[in-house]
Amino acid sequence: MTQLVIISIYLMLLLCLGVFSSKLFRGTSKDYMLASHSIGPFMLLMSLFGTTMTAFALVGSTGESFKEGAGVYGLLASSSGIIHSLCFFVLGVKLWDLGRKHGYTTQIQYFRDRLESDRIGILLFPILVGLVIPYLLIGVMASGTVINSITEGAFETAFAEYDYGVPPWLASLVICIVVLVYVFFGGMRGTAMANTAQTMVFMVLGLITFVIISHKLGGLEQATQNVVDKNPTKMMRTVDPQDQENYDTAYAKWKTVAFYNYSKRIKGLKLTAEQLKAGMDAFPVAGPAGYLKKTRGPAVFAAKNGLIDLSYEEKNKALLLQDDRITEGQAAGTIEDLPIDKELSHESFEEWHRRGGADAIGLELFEAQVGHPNDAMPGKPELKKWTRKKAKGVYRATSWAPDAPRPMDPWKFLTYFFVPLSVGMFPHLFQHWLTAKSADSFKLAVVAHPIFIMIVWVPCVLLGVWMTSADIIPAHFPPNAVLPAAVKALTTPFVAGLLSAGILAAIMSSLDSQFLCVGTMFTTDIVTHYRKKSEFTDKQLIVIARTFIVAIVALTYFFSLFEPRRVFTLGVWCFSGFSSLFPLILASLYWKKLTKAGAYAAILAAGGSWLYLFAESNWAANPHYTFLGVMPVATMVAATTVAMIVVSLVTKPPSEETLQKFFK
Amino acid sequence: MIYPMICSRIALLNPTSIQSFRNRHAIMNKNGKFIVIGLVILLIILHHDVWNWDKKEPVMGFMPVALLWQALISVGAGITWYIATKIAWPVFDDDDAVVVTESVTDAGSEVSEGGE
Repeated sequence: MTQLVIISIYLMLLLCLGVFSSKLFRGTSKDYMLASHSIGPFMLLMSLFGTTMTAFALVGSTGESFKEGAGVYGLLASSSGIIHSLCFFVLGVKLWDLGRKHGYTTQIQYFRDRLESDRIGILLFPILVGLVIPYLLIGVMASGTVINSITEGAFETAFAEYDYGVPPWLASLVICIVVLVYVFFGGMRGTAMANTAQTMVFMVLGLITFVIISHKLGGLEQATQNVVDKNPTKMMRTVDPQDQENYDTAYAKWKTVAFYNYSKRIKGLKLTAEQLKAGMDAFPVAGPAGYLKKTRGPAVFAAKNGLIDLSYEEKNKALLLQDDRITEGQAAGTIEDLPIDKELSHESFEEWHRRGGADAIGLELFEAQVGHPNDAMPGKPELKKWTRKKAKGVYRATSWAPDAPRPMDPWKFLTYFFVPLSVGMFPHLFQHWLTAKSADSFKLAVVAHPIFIMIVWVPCVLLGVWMTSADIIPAHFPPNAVLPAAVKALTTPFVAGLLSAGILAAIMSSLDSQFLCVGTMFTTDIVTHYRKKSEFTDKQLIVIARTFIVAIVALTYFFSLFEPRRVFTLGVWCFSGFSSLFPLILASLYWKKLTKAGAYAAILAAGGSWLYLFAESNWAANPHYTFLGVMPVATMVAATTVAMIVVSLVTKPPSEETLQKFFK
Repeated sequence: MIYPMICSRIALLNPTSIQSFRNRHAIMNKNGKFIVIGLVILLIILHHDVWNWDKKEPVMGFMPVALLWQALISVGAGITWYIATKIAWPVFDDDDAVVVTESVTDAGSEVSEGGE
């Protein structure tokens, strides 16, 4: 309950900040959308940094390093330090200058003018808004996960199906409403102020929590030593031989269980009571609620005594069934494309997608253990009842195949460099750039951004790596919940509440800019562009912007209710879409020969390649998807660049007047 | 006291001194850009630290090499961008105010050297 109270107080404070910033509001749409170009260096730094660091930076980085190891920092954080500032420097300052001279508020206004094409706005608007939605989704989804995880057991009887905590759908809804309120009250000024305050909150609280957690794990050195001893692969980017050996052993044992279960469930193998008892007695490890002894003991007994006899086809079905990739009904029938002359490798059977919600069976298996997390287990007062999440987690950790240690592919690592280019095309950053008071206001942001990234990411990545070996979080744990679970397990309720507020601060400091930006784009690029601006009062324009924002937030919220993806994976896909448009904005500023037709070709190539590759990755369900051995974003950027250059070179160049306007 | 004020007024109306500042700045800016581009390329090369791929022993007892090296790349990026703001920062029209101030200072120095 303490955590819930702290989070509630924090949200109330934010609402007060929104109300306060509304006192400074000048009542014009320019002030609402661009804070009347009045933002100085410090607030510009904090709002740019707060906007780019979202759930992706805290929740995503911790979860991803838990899965993939310390190399995650190099994948995105250090490259972002180079590329983000490069974008601020090469694009931001120049666009700020053009925006100030020609009165732009949005990217589309600029592109319409630069490319001498009105219709380019019609093509770009749905693409940009469409790409902002998954970005919003990351924040909305993560806020629900964080609040739910951290408030488990806060209620006595309510929300039992959500472990007596705030349901994710309700938490996400509250966060959306709070952000909407302060964006509506304060506009861009309120957003910049809230971003500044929230960025300071999440940086300071993050560091405090990191110190507390490292202390709880026995100090920095001990926490890392645990990883070196138990999961050395997480310390590097190749696979440690010891880890490979451990995995090979665990996988072989898991296959025995899979073959036994298939024989029992599909082929009707039945051990006698004596055989079952002998198997269980011989198995040394009881596991949670004695589950391992019950399931693995008989399997080992059956294998040792030659009671399992399966063909390759049956073995392959057994692997898929045990890993919840097919149902029992499918296992009893014929499966297309299933090899019948060789056994599937772990890597190849992962191509069959796991059934959504398959781990719910854990709730049935451990029905006796599940309850209110503050209640004692009957007959064992020293143990607490399990949450529903834990029951599912135990099922996943004991039933699904062990995670194979995975090296980081150097080509994939190299081509991750294209992902941070997305910053150049984020519509909300474009709007933030235009709020700057002067070109010099950018200097602090350009210099401090990489250092701030380091301050936020290094503790998160270390924490994720440490959690692999701290015996707190089991295998197959949802990556999005690693950070809140670690905080809850290793800190006091008070600190957990504070850090949750910090995580929410990071999430909300991005959501607010994005909310404001989609509203601005709609009023500027659609409403006042196609109807005379004089037909609307400033007040009406603000109402229209707010209505559109609510519609987009409602749509995002609706999507967030479905099966969640890994925050990191979804983020990378969203950023890849924006990155694929980077060549267009770069060329528009520095290449005189860019033509209208070239720009259309670039946008179509970017949209087409993104959609094709996103579908190929099963809509982000496959977090390890690569195309031709490299990150899909590399292909997208290449396709966009080639289409843009080739078409521009063979079509009519822009008018002299336009060239004078943009390249004098 | 009055003379520098007059000089500053003249400088405001003197496009030659503004142009001279711009020319000097343009030369510095051009060289600066090459230095910054070089530093960024160096950072990108150093970022791809394949030589650290299989190092598992922590540095300082707790820091994975894969993390420390990349954190240093972040520090390097901060330094590079600091240099960029000093030697390759673009000049815009509203920077004329800065140009004028510097021109006034230049004019003042010349007058002082002349024994006025």
